Amino acid sequence: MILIVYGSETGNSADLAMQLDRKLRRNGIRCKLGSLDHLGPDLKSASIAIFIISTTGQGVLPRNCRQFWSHLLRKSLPGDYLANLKFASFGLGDSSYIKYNYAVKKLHARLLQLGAHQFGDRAEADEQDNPQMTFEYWAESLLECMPCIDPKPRHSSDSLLAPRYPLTVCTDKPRRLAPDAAYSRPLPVATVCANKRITDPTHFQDVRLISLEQQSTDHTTVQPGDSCTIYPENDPALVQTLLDLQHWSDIADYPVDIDPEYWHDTQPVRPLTLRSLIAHHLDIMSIPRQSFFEVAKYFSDPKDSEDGREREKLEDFSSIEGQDELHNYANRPRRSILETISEFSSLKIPVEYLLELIPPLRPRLFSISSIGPHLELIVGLVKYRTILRRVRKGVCSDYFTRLQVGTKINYSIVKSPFRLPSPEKPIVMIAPGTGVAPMRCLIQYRFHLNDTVPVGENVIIFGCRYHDKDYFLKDEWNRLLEHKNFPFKVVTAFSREEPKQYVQNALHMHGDRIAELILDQNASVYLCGSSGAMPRQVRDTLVEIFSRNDRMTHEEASEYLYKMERMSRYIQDTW
Amino acid sequence: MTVSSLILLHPSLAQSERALEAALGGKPAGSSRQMLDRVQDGTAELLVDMYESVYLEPSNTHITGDIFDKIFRSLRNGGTLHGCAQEQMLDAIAAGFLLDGGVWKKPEVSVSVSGTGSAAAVSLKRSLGSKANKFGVAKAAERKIVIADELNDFADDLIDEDSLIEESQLLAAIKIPEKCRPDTGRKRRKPCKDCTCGLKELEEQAAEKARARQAVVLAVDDTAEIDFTQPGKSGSCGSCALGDAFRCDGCPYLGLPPFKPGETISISIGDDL
Repeated sequence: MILIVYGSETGNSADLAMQLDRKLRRNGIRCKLGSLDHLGPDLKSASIAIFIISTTGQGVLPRNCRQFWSHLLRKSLPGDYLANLKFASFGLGDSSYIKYNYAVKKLHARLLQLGAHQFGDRAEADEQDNPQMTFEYWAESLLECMPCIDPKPRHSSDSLLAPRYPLTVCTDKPRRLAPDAAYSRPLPVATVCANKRITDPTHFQDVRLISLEQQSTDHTTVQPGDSCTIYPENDPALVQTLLDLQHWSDIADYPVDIDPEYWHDTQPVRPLTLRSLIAHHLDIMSIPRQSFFEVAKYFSDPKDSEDGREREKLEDFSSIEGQDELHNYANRPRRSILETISEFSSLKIPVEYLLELIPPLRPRLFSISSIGPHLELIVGLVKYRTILRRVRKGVCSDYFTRLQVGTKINYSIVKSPFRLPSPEKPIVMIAPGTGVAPMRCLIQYRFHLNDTVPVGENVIIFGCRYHDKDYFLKDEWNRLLEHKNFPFKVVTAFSREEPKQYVQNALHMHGDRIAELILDQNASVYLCGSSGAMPRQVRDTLVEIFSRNDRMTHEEASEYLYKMERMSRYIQDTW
Repeated sequence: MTVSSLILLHPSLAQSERALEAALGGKPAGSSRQMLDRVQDGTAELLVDMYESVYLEPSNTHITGDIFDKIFRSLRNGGTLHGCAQEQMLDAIAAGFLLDGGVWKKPEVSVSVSGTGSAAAVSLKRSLGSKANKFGVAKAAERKIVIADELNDFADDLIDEDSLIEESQLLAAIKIPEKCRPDTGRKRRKPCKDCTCGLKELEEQAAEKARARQAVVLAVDDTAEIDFTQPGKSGSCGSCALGDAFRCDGCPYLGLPPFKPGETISISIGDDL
């Protein structure tokens, strides 16, 4: 049994895995394809496994790997646990992060520790430097050394392969014209009880407070750090546009039949029709990758457009040489697959290839921002302009814009991997912008806990732009500050008002007190917000305040922070 | 055939009338109830092959492998378990459950299971010859053997994953030789999220310039044929109408959809602002 195992957070590694699968199928080799969590149990009985693993977060494996990765990390596993396995690995990372491609490095090392045998060369691709080319080079070299390949390829690289997951529209079954609320997955259901903007209307960003009421049978107690999974839906008007462009309106509301393996890590909505599939499961607004054009080119007849220009351009976009041009056409302006299909009017897509062409629409996770009874989310909507006339909107952001109070939606809860600190320990929270979402939950939790058991000090350093525009928790926190028996301190940093400060500046200003809380009173530290310069600068500032007053050297301070992280006393959640 | 179900209650629910009511709500009428701690210590026994569905209340209550086995035995074939915690997935699989449409199910294959968890693994080995009558069921039985052996102690210590990095730094990853890169394979930088080098500003300026050009083009009467002598409507390449994929870098129509000459340009997909 040959496995192609991917670890994918945003779909890039999953896409490369599909591409590798195609290459192997051209050589007559059938593989099982799936995430590490899905195919992990098969590793012991497989003969060959090829891993394509992205690095995410702070150098960790993606979410669809974590359960089985924990299993692989068990000390009790013998050194010959995977002695029957031959494997190859490919990593996808971003060299602007320090822990570049750490995930594949860790997995590769552990597989060797467990007795698996490497074949072929390891490779690491960099998002910053033509990962597709690295992939193709590695895949070619892999094919050359794979033990089971027939010297003569079965399919020439020029012909269209059958789709991996064919789709059949069942026109012999009755149509399912369900009203909107009827689409549902076998998951908990909540009612939207609030969806309001909490930043000033003149502020550049629309930040929403979204409140969900769980059904009583599904009620789960929420702990700080838990996240809520939201399943966004494409705008029905855009779904109709695709149906119209491809003349699928007549078959749009019939049930569709799809290989169950396609659903190995999701649950499909019911009823599943062509329309509901596109609306809930296909990311038609994502940017087309090279692999899109590799398949789409076959669906443009050279005779259909002037001089066969469209067919030729699609072939260009699928070639190595055409990647710079594709980047300018699709990536820079964030052009969507839907817009691409609209612009290449000669495209006639056979509906059975739909899953081959369009990547899956992934659910989004949001930190839960309240201790209950309702689930509250604080979400900054994504909306921006590029060279394209039409405004770019995030899929989930647009979904929230359309989401009416009273609607019932699917959701699920993802538990936090972190244990909470004991009540008497102080907590220092550093959270600019919407990073404050999980901290709000933690503060509420400690406030309520304080009724039963006295809690330690709670300090939050919150950063935003303007006191009057995006300090959206101002009133709530002022109310909390009135409770004299709840040890709570709020430090604000406004970046566009005097004195212009970021969170790290405020941290620096209050450094002596914060250092005392951490070094003398065993405080835990939480950092939450966007990745990039901010976490780096906060960490640098922490090291600086630890080493003040000759308490320790810079090196010792760095080591102390590193140890805190290892013990989960310093928790960083940045995205 | 009456549908019978079982609600397994965590002892903490007994402390609150309201919590207990909520836990019992929404379940099939006539459901049996048992307290988890009594099942755990053996004072309450679950009958074998009895229930169509078992509910854990509250949801996500963490249960031991032993309880998983007891629940498994008490379910009829095809029976379902509700309220299982996400992180207990491997424990559920080890007990023999299959995830079917998002719900944990006891597979239809009849397997005689007796005694404790490890004995169940042995008897499954014996009956593996039975054919699967549903997609994937035999594989689930296989999986039980693989994982049950290794999950005897599921509160096991894990190695420190960061320690793996020191070792693997020594392993080199292949690099594409320079000569193999195509000529156009220059590094293509997109601006970082918090760009400080100015690339982000440059791209934003380019976008604004393009929008200004588009405004000129849209403002002029578009029902006319493209008149290349008109200011703002250049087009010596003749490709303006074909869409961005075919337009030149300085084309005033960049960012607008393709159009037929003589047709008004419509931004049909979605709204403009």
